Amino acid sequence: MFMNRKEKALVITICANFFLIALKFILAGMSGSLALKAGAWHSFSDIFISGMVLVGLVLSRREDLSQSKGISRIENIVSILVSFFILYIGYEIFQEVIKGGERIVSQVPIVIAGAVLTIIISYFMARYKIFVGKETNSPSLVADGYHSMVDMYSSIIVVVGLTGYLVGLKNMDKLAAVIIVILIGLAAVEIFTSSFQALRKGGVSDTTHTSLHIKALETYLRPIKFFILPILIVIYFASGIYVVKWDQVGIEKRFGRPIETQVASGIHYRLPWPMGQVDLVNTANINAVETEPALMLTGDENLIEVNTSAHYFIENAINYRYRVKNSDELIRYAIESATRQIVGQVDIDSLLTTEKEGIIAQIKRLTQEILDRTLSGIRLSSIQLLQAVPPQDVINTFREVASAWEDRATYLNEAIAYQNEIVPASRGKAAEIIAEAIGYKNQKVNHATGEAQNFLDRLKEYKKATDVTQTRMYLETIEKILAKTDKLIVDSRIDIGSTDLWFVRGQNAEKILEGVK
Amino acid sequence: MSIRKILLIAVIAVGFGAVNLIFFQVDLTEYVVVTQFGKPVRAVTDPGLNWKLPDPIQSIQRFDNRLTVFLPNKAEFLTKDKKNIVVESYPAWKITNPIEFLKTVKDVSGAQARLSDIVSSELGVAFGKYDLTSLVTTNKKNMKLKEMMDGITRNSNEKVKDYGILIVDVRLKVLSFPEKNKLSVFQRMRAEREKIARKYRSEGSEEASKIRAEADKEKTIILSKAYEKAQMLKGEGDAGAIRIYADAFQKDPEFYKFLRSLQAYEKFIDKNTTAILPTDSELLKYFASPKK
Repeated sequence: MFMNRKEKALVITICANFFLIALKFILAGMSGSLALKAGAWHSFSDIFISGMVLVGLVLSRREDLSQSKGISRIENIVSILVSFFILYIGYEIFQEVIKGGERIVSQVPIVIAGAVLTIIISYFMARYKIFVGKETNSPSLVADGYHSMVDMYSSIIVVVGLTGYLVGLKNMDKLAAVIIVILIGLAAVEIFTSSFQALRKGGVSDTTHTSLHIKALETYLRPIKFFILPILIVIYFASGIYVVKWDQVGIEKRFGRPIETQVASGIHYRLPWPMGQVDLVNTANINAVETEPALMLTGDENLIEVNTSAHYFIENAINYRYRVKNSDELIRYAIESATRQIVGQVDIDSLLTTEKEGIIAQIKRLTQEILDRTLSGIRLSSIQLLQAVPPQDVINTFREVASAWEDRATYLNEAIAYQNEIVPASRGKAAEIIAEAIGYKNQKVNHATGEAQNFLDRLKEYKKATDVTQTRMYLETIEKILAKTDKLIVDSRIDIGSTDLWFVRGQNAEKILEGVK
Repeated sequence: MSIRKILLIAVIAVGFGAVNLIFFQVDLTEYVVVTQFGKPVRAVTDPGLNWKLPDPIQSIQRFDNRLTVFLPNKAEFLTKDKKNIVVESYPAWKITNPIEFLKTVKDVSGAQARLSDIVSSELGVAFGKYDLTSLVTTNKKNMKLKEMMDGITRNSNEKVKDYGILIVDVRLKVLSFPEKNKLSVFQRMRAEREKIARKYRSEGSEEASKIRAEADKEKTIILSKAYEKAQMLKGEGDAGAIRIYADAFQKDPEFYKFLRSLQAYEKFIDKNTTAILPTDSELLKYFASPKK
């Protein structure tokens, strides 16, 4: 396809612009700079305008095509859509700017060098287009040249923003991004108006008149040059605004000397860098620290494995921040040292069992003492004895002691059970014995009473006929007795004294008697 | 660009450089020593803005003035009672005289090297003077740890005075037996535990026996009390019976004797008894002849 000089210049600069956009996106990705990102999108809008100019030129050269309204209409509609897209991008970046939070930009020096390169490229592109445009009498190319000039300015703003960031004005990058977003907006409006007008009038869009806008803008903006310095100064002083969050205490310093040590939460002002500085210390947070398990010597020279943890907060921000360099290590050492010392004062049994509470309180007191001695500004809120166990090598014997203690309890329980059984049983037996005795006593008395009465009754009757009754009773009894006995009745004439009487009784009687026969 | 513009820029650049070379800030956390051709000439210990002759005539060195703790290496010592112990201590120190500090130890790592030597040797001396039993003990009166550590801090300070350093505190982080001694300590701990276990068991048996004996005693007492009471009751019964019998029989002893005799005869004369009855006895009076 044949190209004239103007078109060639445009094609070359469009290619250069693609390179520029790629470079800016890469730099933006590397550093995280918002200004660079905005700049890249600005270059994109620029490339689009160049494309529109190119299309216009080609169409104007070929009369036949320029008559076909269809193509230019499509072109204009696409342009309007693109203008909306660019506007949206500008809005997105603006959102990112307001979102707040400290934005960390890295590799700043390298990125600045890259940005300077983009300035140079933009500059030569702009000069080239304006030069060719003037030579060939093409107002639209000249106008495009001015667009590239604006792109160059945006790159300059990026460099200024990054440099500001480098010297400590952390918000300069964001500010630069905002300015570039405004430029993006202008470019979008420009594309929109020219395309919209072309659509209304018919024919190709003409960016020439918009270049007049830019020229007019430049004349308006010229006085701004005088304001740039004041604005920069205002920005510089505004960088002294800082925020103390609710859980923080701020310490404001001037040339390193503290001038306000209790800055409460809220928005405050200090002198800008490098005169004023602010240190923020978190005082509301409770921090936790834990020691490694370690073998410690107890007061009775046993070894025990102990580890503790502590919760603490910063009571005195000044002392914490300015008196002790490595507070984290200090507090860990202090706890370990205090624990060791207290463990060295108690015997292993009280540590393992009964006196943990008291021991923890002692550790806390001593740790606080150590921390106070070093003016650390730290206050302990609590200490926990996470672990206090005998070393692995001896733990079995400790368990053996525990089971011996259980055995002891078992023995006692068995004995108490025996006691509980035997004492009531004896009481029962005693009651039985006594009851039996009472029975015996009553029996005796009752028998006696009965027999006595029996005797008295009989006596009464006996008295009435003494002689005969006596004889009757005698004979009745004798009769009963003699009925079952062997009897030998001897005549009174036989002299019993001179008579031998043999009585054989029992089982052998028969035999003996036979023998006698 | 006009000459004037170039000049303006040059003046600004030089001014900026000069400000940096002459003025310096001193933070609250640091001391600054101004050196002239490398030789310390003065120290700035108050925070704020200061000035000096520009580099390279005078330059500055900054030193952190905050308290620092660090851990020298673990070391083994011998106590007075000849016990091997492993010790890890930590000194908390800070720079008090930055010029002396710069002259003698140069920087923090130099200072920590000296400190570690000095504290370690002081520890060695101190442990040689104290028994282990006065450093770990349950007896508060014997406790000499604080006294010893204060002594170490004092003596170490005496030695680091010339280095522009102050030792605020020296504390023991680890105080234990060396690895090779631990086995015998464990052995002892085991023996001790076994002793306690045995004690618990025998105490248990002892208590149990006492309880059983007490129970047996109680049983005996209860039963004997019951026996006593029973005997008394029986006695009362017997006495009552005797009295009642006596009261009744008193009325006619002769009749009683007669009755009782009859009863007795009935009882003791059984079928094994042979009665020899003479015919002239009262019983057989009518047996021989009906007439008297």
